[in-house]
Amino acid sequence: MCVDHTADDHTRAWAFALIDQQPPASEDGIVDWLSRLCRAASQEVDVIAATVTMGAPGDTSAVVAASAPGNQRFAETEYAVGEGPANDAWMLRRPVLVPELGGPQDGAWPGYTATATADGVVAVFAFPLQVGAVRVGVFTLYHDEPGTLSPANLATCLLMAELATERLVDSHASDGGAIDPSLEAAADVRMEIYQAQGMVAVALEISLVDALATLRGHAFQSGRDLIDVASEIVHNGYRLGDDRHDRNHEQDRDQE
Amino acid sequence: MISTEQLATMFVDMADTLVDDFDTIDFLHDLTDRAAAISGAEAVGLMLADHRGRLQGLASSNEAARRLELLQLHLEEGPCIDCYTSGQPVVNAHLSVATDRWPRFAPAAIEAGFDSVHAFPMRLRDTVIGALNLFGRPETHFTADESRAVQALADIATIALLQERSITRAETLTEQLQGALNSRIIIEQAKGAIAQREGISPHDAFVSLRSRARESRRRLTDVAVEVLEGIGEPRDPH
Repeated sequence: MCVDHTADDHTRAWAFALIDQQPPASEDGIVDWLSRLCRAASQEVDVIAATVTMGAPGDTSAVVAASAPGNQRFAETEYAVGEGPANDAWMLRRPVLVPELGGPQDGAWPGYTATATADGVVAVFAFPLQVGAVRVGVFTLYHDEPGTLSPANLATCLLMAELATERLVDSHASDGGAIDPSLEAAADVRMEIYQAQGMVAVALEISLVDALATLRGHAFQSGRDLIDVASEIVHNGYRLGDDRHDRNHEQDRDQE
Repeated sequence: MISTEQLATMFVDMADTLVDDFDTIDFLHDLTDRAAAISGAEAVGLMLADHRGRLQGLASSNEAARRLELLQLHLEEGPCIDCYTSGQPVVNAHLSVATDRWPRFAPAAIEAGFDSVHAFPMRLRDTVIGALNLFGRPETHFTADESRAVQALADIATIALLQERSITRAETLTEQLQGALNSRIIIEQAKGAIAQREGISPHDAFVSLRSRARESRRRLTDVAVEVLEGIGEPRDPH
């Protein structure tokens, strides 16, 4: 299916074998296969984690697969702060390779770098999943030590990104054009964030965009996960303390 | 017979077309025309297998090519079918000596005024997806180099088809996925907004949202959008 691939049949067969060696989980179809791809890639390239995100990682998106159950959080960080290498890979339509966060090739993501570094991530390599001009998602690898990808590992990452793209696009076509339910379900992870966003928007009489920024700011300042902050708001009601006061105060100043 | 210069120009032109926003059928018709011009073949046609493996004519340089392809399908024999089933090119097959190979097609094609036939597979890894067929006069004879050039044309046709197919698939997937994500997000945001406004739980807010949608016989997403409209915009003093 893929047109602009550079890998020969032999290399592709090798990559498929790596993925097939990974034991399948209980989950269904494509999400499970992508998770195995992430696992195979992270073992082969020797990094701590890999993820597949569909959509713009810092915006409307869903983390659909990860090398291990807890590893989704590495990709969720970009949504939590609204920026990062995977988001840039999506925006720029090219790989974004960061051998050391905070180093010279860091893309100036203050929020992302602080959060990811605190989580033990040092190097990040993000590859867009795209067919021509059409973008589907991003394949990202994370490592806890600084360093660039060797040419061989870079080739492996590019090939894995290619296989992930093919599988996503082909699964869609073979299924009569319906979205795989397991992919759709991946969007539910952030349910509470969206609910909290609606609550904060109403409570503060601000736009939804500003409400998300407020939530992100609060999570960042308090050093907590966005999802935890959102969950607390949803379960205990909206009490972000003096946010409203600060805001009104600013407005008063603006009017002066 | 095929000039290197002509060939180079043609490949550059075709590559340019592929990069642009191109119409596949138009592109393939153009490709058969160019193949005819460059090879000196009387008629050039391109056949593609459908998902059940049945060949169908997709593009041709003229009606004669189309008729010859239809004839092969009807008779269930001929160079194009051989090429598709074997995955191997049929080169410089002369109809006058091919009556054993194609007892019904060969005489029919000779009667239609053709003498030589050639077919090149459209290959994708291990799979053959179709064939590029050339029908000509006796002097249409390809050297090994020329055969490779025509095979490259068949490969371009394959690339063009796959490119379109994968781009279309990726586009639909992206659109539908973004659509599905967006409607989920909007519904959750609306649940939050209703919960906050009415002091109820998100679950009760969803029940309320759904009953609004049912009562007004509208889609849940549309009702959710309505709930969210106007949030954060300047309000009337009263």
